[in-house]
Amino acid sequence: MTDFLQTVVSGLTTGALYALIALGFTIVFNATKVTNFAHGEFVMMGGLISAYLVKSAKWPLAPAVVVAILCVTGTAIGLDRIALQHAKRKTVLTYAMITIGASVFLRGLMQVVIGRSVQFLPPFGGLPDIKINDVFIGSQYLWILAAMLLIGAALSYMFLRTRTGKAMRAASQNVRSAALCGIDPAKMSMLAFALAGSTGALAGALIAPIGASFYENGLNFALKGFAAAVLGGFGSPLGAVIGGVLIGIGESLCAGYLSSAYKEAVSLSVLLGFLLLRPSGLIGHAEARRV
Amino acid sequence: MKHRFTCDGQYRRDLLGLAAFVVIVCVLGFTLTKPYHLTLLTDSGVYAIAALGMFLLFGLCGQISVGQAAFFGLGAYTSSLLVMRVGVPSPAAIVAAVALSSLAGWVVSRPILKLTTNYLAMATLALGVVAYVIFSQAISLTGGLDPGIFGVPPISLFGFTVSSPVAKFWTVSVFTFISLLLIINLIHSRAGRAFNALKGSEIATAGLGVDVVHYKVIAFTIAAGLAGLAGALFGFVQGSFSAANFTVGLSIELLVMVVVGSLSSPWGALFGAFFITIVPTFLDDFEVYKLLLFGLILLVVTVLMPDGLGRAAYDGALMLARRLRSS
Repeated sequence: MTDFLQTVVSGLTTGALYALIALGFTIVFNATKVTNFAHGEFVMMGGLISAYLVKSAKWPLAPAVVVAILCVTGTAIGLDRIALQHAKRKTVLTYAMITIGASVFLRGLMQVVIGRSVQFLPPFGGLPDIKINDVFIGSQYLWILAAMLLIGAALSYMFLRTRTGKAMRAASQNVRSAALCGIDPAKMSMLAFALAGSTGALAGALIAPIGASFYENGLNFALKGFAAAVLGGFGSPLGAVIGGVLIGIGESLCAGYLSSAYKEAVSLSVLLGFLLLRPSGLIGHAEARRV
Repeated sequence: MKHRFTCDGQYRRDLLGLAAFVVIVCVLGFTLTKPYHLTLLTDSGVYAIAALGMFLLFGLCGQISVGQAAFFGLGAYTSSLLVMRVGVPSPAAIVAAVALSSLAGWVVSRPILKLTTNYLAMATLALGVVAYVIFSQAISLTGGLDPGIFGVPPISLFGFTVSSPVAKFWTVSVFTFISLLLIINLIHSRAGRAFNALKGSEIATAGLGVDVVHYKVIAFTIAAGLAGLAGALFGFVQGSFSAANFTVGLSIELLVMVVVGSLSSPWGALFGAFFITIVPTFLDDFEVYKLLLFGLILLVVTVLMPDGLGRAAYDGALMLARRLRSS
């Protein structure tokens, strides 16, 4: 029983990270209907830059993480302002291609600037390790859980209750009619990318002490986060959290009871299965499209 | 939508282009003596075949795939293993590789093409990752990442063995020619017009009585088959390879080839494959800058030139010519 609980709890904590990444997809999608394929790169950069600043430039942890988050937020705003807003053809396919291009570019940029070496970030500390009846939760995992709960709640509140959140959702529904209501869609899009960049970078910095930071990690983060977002129902912050946690637990159970080699297959099969059978996710609703 | 593909003049021009391709290949084949140059051209020919499939799928039908490396790898493993383990003659192994990748493409495409744009891109990306995981983990069959597969014997046909760089160049060129012929004839057929229409609007195309799903499946299957053919040739030309050759990076490169070339002409795929294979040879330490450069190309071209770099250059040249004539 203890083994089982431990497996579930460690799945829960990994799942919290996936949820945090999925929230980044959700924010951008809710404000712009763009699926940001570069989001995994934001997460990778958050971890890699903070680890690099701490290990190679000998910075203290806190400013390193803050600077990393600022860098990535700037990058995200740049992607929106410089690339997406200047797209000659404004179709979903073009936007997808642009963010795919951006993800390759950012991966290459990190490879050139920071190099191909694996970087390690020390644990954040500050929070205690918790041990209840032999079930262990490391302090870094507590950080991840706390961040996920805080950011998930804040985003849910923002999208459902605040004027800005409602304006963002309106802008994604119909750019023209939102603009006629006095909403500036470009500003909403920029805000969404800034938010996604900062939460993504934070997620990257939080996971960096547990896994190693490497310039090629972004793809994996993106697939996991996207799978979580799809599982929960794309666009719903609550769904993203549920989806992330479920995938984390699924992976953990698979690694514990079946085989760790197939662990990676869990999120991918969830992704493919849900895309094909129930694209609206667990708590989403089907969208009808008018011609 | 542009109607370039429907007029007879365009078909005639494409056939002339094919003739020009044959002449250029003959001239190069008889004049080039340095193995290095021949190898570069052979490699670009191999990638051009896969890029032609990508052009059909992405350029013509507007269906994105970020997982073509799966079929490329499947073709490479199928043909090499058939020749090495089963002792099948190499031409039959190539046919089997194309058949198997097409079949895999067909099977996958039935469910996957219900998805569009973003979701299709993510699903094909996941497919590519799954294939890579299988390639690198099924070590008893594929040799995994290290050592992979080595000592693939050269293609042998009617007693000839294709082992010298010149022979490889001729062989790959013949296959490139066949693929080009296939694609060009496809473009100017009923299917080609359906492809072009569904890129514009799937709903409108379905409204005109075109079976959209049917044509999307055809495009995906042919693209997978061409990727498989390229993979099979890749195996024979290289002689050794491992799962590391079939990462998502390869799928992205194929996408870059089409984007750099043209999204509206098969000749663009040829140019793109040549460009992407040649550029690395001009830069030292290219491996380090590869992703940065390819990412930048993808970004700039997709933002500013949604029809592809080749197309933009062609249109620019036309405009310049018109301006010169009028002044």
